[in-house]
Amino acid sequence: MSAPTTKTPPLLQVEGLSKHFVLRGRGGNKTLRAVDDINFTLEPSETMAIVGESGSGKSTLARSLLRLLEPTSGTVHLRGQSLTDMTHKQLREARRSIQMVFQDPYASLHPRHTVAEIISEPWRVHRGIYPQADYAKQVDILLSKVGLSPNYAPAYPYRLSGGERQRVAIARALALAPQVLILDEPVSALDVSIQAQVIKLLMQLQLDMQIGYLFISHDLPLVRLVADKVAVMYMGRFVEQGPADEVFAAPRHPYTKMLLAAVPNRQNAPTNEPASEPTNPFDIEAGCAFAPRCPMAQDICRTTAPNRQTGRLAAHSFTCHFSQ
Amino acid sequence: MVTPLLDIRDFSVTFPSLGGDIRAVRGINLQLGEGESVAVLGESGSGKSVTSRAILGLIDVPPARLEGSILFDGVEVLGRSDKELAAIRGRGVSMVFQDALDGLNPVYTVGDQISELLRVRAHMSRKTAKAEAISLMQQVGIPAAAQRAKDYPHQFSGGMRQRICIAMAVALKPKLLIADEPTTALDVTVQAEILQLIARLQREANMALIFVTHDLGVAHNIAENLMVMYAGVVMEFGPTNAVFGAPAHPYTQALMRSHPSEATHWSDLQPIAGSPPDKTERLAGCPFSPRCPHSTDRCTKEEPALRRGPAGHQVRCHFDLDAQI
Amino acid sequence: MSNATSNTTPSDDISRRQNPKWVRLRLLLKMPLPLTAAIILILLLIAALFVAPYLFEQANRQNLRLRFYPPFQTEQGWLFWLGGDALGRSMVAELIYGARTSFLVAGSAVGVAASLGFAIGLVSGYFGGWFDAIIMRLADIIVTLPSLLMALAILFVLGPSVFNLICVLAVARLPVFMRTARAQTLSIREWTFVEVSRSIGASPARIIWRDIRPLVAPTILTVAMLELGNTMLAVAGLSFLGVGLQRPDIDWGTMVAEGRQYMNVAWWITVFPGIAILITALSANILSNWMRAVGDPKQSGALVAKVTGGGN
Repeated sequence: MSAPTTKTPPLLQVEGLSKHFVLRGRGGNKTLRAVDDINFTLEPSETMAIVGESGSGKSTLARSLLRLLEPTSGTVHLRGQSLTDMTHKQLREARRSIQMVFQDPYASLHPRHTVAEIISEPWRVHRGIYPQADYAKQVDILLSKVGLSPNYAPAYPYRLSGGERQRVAIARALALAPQVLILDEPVSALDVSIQAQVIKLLMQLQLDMQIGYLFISHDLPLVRLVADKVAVMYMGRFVEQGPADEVFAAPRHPYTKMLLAAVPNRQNAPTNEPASEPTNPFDIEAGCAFAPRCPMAQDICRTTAPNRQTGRLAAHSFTCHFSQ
Repeated sequence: MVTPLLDIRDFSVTFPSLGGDIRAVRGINLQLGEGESVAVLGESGSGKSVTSRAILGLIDVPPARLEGSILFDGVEVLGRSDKELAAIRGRGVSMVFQDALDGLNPVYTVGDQISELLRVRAHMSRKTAKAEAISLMQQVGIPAAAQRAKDYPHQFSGGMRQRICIAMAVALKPKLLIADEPTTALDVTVQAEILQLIARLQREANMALIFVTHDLGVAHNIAENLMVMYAGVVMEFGPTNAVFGAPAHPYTQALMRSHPSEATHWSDLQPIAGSPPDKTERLAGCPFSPRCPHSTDRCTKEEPALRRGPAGHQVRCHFDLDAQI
Repeated sequence: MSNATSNTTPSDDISRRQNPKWVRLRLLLKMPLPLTAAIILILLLIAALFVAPYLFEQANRQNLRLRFYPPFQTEQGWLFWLGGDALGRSMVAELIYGARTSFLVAGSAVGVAASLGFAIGLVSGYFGGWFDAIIMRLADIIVTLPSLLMALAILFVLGPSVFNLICVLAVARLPVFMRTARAQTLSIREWTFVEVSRSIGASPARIIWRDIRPLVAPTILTVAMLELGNTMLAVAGLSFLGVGLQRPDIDWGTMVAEGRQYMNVAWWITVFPGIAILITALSANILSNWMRAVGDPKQSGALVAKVTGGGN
């Protein structure tokens, strides 16, 4: 790669990324901190999972990374190149390296385009990757990569099942040979009997192509299987992040513990029935955003925002006043 | 023999469509006594929601074609007019839907909506209905119920709205509560609370419960019986612990094996091959045979009947398979 | 790679699933009302395009011997089956030639309005902003003006001619198409596949052309069918009022206007073109309604049930 003296910059480096929405109302403007001060790095072949409930800002974060939404502040570097400083024209070019697979394969494929058109569309946008005469051959190669036969090329999406559609969406995302793939709930819209197929396919592709995955999900059992690193997001912030094994084995933030306890599974039935609803994102004035739901909240939690603490491992951090 | 509260016999639903008839449900049988509960587990298109809706007469005929019979408290539900069904709905059977917003009128306060229901259907006075509405909201765990009764549906979070829908569903003390994926749209922490709430209400009021879900974990905890549906037919039926403890149908087995909680690393996942069948086709044999690891010639030609399996509960498979997961 | 996925490969045989286009055609063949409407419109179109050019002379040749010649007589040949008018011209020839001008004027007006409105609606719906605001206020203004009155005034000043007529009608019908295209664009713009195209790096022009246009087009076509009927009525109305088409160009409106004074002696001069207008406008309406119903998945299910005799 580069000269041994200079260290290669991380594949993806996100620093202080924020996306705030200002809502104008009669009683003055309100700011919604949908994404607030996010920091992380991603390396090739690595899977970083972002977990959180709906409204936590996971999807806004993904879209801000790609600048599908313009971030309010912060930087995103791809191999040292700043995406956040690029002009729109440069950005369109840079998007070749970061691709995204969306949650709903029924919405992400154009109903009037054939599978071949959908997969080759990225090449029509970025001319010069393959000569047009090779498109058909390259589409077949991509189809076989995602486990579909070439017979699918002339088919329209309505003829495909959910799992087949998501495979097509993955093939399209791979068409530009990206270095980073953002997977926004890639299997949660699929039937349960299909989910494992698609997960195995994605992970196998990562092994073959050394792509860095940003895996956005609310499904904790699934995240446990695929992630190298985990970040737990609550109201726009990472309240806990670290190596996946460590976070699952020894969660430090009360919210992470609550999420893990709430997973319905065969071993344990959930036992508590408190009415702990997410708070209105506008209501947070001071203190910890999680305090209104937190079973161990003290007075300090409602008045002072907690600082980031380091866990047993240096790479494991969480934002809480307490450290047990 | 005591007549069961709910008696579904050879019930089928067919929808005509541009691509040919969709056979959504084929020959379902289910008997449910008072206070009994059953979880209906299935993927999208398995027919689980269609069945539960049919009990309330919520399927439009035409376009749909219904066959068989659904007796509730000894009364036939199929073929009744909306007017006749009104007597059954609410007092006999009530339903909680996936999307709580669908069940609430945005222009009335939630307190008004609950008390309106009580006044019209239970003939309560304005004052008692109002008090009862607040008490119901307390029962389903809404904090500061007296004040929140004056709020409109959009002022509540998703979980709270679902609690209000549950309050309305149990307001007339139904004998049977049908919950159609009531927690699918909710976050995990909220889901856990709603499941607890439904279980508690069912226990306290001795209601029968049909809980429709696609989530193995949810199905395991909510009901004493489990019905596994695939492509419009019942694949396996029995006490929940028996089915989960010794699944006898290859589909149930495969479903459990492919679940993330059964693995420690993604490479341990054992996916089910193929996709659920296109329901406009008519399959001669077992609908799961194209995806089944144990499939034989017989499976593709002859549809198996629901029979008593090796573990004692009902299973729709030609073979006695080892219940290894 | 192949090892990892071979056991999970979905089935290869996807050819058996039906193409809805052919199903829709079969559906049309089974529904008498929209089928009749479609056949009438196709026959009229054939008559207007291919038969009418040969009848121009007959439609204007006067024959005083055949003044007020009554209909349903066969002695004078098929040209006079529907009688003769006040100057002894063949009603059949006039009706067919009238169909040609009606279709031509209404068709061009709707065609211009539809394509222009489609393009403007797409652009203003996708980009929004000041352009959208201005365009929509303009549309509001056009809609608030009574279109027939406005057309009457403009044609009175500019003088009646085919070109002016088409222009005036096209402007009057423009807002319908603009608003339809814009409303659809606004909702399609939010769909995931548009976001996908942006994430691939596609330009806005490409997104509008490749992603949004094909999905708005069927609605525009449906509206155009409906507007064709309305516009034919408007053309007839304007001709009736004397600012539409002038001899030797005739349309059904002109014929109704001419025949009006002879209602007592020769009812057919008014009634036949009147019926022609009615049937054509009705057919366009029925067909447009059917197109809308078939395009809507909720309604198409019920349609299939009705046709296949399902549900009882």
